Amino acid sequence: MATQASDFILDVRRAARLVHKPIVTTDSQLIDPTMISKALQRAATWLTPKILETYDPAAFKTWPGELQEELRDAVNEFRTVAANVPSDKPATTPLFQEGVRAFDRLQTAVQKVVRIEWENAANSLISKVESWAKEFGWFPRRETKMLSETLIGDYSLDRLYMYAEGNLFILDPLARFIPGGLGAFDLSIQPSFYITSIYRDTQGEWFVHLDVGQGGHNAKKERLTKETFRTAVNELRSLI
Amino acid sequence: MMKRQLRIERINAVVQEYLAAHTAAELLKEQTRSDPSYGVKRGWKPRGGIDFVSNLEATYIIRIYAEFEAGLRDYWLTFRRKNTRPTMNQLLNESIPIRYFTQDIIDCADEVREYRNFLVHDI
Repeated sequence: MATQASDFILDVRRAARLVHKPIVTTDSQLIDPTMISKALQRAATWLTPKILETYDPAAFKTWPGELQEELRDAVNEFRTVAANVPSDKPATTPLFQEGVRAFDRLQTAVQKVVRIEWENAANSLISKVESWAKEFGWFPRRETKMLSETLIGDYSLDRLYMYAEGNLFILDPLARFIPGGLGAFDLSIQPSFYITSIYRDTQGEWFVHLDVGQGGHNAKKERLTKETFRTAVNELRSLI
Repeated sequence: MMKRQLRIERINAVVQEYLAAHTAAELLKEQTRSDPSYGVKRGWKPRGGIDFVSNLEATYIIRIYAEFEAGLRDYWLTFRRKNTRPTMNQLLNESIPIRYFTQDIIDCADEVREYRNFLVHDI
């Protein structure tokens, strides 16, 4: 995925964490937390054209036409609403409500783009590892895992269990949004705390951490291949 | 690995302490309702009791966070072998996060950091 597209997606994700926040709780009977929450939420720091600064339609040109169009329309609508918000005072009630609707539409459009792309990439990785496991004479089995992330919402991916030469290994989807990457899986040996990471870098390439016995930060980053995957499994086995 | 477990247990111990303190606060409320001079007889003013109850959650959020911070700093010094002292903002958002954490977890931890800072400067 192009860096420009990633930056835009991260900007929308950041804004998504701010909508409908903060939520106020109070132990005073004299204060209505719902009213205070609504008042603070009206500050609407997310309702600004700044979150669209990194949007470049060309970064999404590999996407199906109707998705690109939906995203472009949502961006234009949000930009129009956000541009009307004065910089020195809160949005009026109608403008705020319009902003919430426009942002929901923008979020839905971005969510579709991210979810489809991530599910395809993750499923392709699971299938690839599953086929390697079969080649090694292991016994892979899939189980569905439910995940929930900001922007993407609730979704499911398969978790892969592999019985390999007397040990159980699990390839477990972690998240699409991780620091410095575009998605990660945990690879662990059970029962133990030992774990390594299989993750997608910002260019969309899959890597695996080797030398994990030295700790995650000292791990060696290797491109994921059948051989490096096998090495990671052997290293995990050597730790128990 | 043992140290990680120790740190988790220390955080859990403070949570247990909070639950005990919460029960103690409920008992104190009942006691002072039936005997308004209960505190004065023991050397503290009624305002002290009211503040104890209303600040209880905030006090324990700060304490739990202190254990969390101690754990992160210990990890930074002994496991990562760094002799620098980054701010918690840097530790949480830049130095420690690797691909074993989801961005949602990091964002939630950072929200707690901000809330704890608000409490420290507000109460």
